[in-house]
Amino acid sequence: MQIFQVIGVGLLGVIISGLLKKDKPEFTLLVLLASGVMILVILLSSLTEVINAFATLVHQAGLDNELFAGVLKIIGIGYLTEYAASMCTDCGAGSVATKIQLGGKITIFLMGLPIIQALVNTIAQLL
Amino acid sequence: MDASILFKLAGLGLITSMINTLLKKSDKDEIATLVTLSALVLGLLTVLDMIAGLFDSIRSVFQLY
Repeated sequence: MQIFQVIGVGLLGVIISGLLKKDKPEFTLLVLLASGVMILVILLSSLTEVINAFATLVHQAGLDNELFAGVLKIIGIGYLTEYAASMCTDCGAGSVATKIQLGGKITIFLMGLPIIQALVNTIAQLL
Repeated sequence: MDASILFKLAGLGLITSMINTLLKKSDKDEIATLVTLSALVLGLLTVLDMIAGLFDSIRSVFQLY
């Protein structure tokens, strides 16, 4: 079960960053970054299983693959921006975090345009 | 990807703080700042390697770019 690994790595990172906070505060940032990366890597393997299952589902349903690729890109961007934004809030730079989230929203909106157009086209065909 | 990297970073931080206090006692403060800087660079390099690996795997999983 990956959840135990995730909890273990997270607690370990917090404890070590607490240990280093007193005399070397800049290392707490490094330790937090490292533990965040490790948690994401652990979760990534289970995420690929979900994505493969969805890919086969989309394939069977006959939907075109380009739409699903767009949705996948959006999830990836959300995944990355959330990680970067939470790292920035950890280090006290809340303004940078909101900027990163704004950038993520804009790119996701940009990615979503073809999907919306595809939706409108299918609806127009139905009518 | 076990937790050895976290322990490496923790060891690095503790060793630098010890060296710093040592150097400060023998009033060589400029060397202390150099030691802190080099330790920070080392830690940053290891963490950057991990982040690069994470971004590569995310790019391959989500077919970004």
